[in-house]
Amino acid sequence: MRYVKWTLIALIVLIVGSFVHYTLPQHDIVRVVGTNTERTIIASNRAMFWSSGEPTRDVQFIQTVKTNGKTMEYRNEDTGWGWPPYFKFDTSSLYTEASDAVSNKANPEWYSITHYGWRNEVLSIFPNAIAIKPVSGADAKVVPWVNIIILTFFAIVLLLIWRMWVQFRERTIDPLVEDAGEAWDAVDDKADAFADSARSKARGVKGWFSNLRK
Amino acid sequence: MLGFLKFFLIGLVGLTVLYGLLSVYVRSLTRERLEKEWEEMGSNGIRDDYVEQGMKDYAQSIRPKLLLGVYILPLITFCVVFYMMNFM
Repeated sequence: MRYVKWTLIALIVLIVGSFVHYTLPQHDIVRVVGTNTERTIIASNRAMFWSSGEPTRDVQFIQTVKTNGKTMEYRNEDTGWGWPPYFKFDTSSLYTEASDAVSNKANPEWYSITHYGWRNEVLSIFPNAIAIKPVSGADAKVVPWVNIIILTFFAIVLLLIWRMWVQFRERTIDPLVEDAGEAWDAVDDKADAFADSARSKARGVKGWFSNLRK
Repeated sequence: MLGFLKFFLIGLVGLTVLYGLLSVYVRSLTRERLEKEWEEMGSNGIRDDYVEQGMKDYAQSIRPKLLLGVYILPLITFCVVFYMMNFM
């Protein structure tokens, strides 16, 4: 039973953690190598990793190289009013900015790309670029203020839900249980009284018989 | 446009649930505070009368209206995020 419990807890932590990791914005320090638009067929089982829309459509991509020399590709799609709630409608502007940010290895210009989502070569999924900003150099650090604010906010919400539940239990459930307990005690007392009287009557009958024998 | 409606309706329903839960919670806290106050003040008079009067005062004060911030703060957040995402 303990293993079941811990497996369940681990599973919930994993699912919530993945969800948060996928959805919250992250920053990569990159050198933009190029941008292009590609006709893409999105399989229905992977549609959740793309913006909603026609399964076959033109998707914009941004190709980059990270500071450690590894490559990273981003898709550039509107999120619109859908999930996650970035309300991104400026895909075309971002495409222009990214095209304007292209630099070569000899003369690198470093940019911070804000994105959400995962890159997976096997599933052919790409993080969605949200914003692009120039940074001072390859060693630039970006403080994830948005994540700090959102995670703090969710911690407060969880605390609030817990406090609400405690209050509800103290003020509503416990008195009900007490009432039920008192009602049950009353029934119990009655039953006891009945049993007592029955016993004393039985004693009376027995006593009567034993008196007869004398 | 349809997307906006969906977003708006889901947001409205979610915030209304939150508003309802919060207002019940704050009322419960207020009631508990009044009950304790009555005991601390030496348990004078009828307890229910004191608590009910206190709840009426609470309902007329500004505090329950502050809970409307549940609707206003997300709206402001949305406007700021929308502006920063698309026009900055």
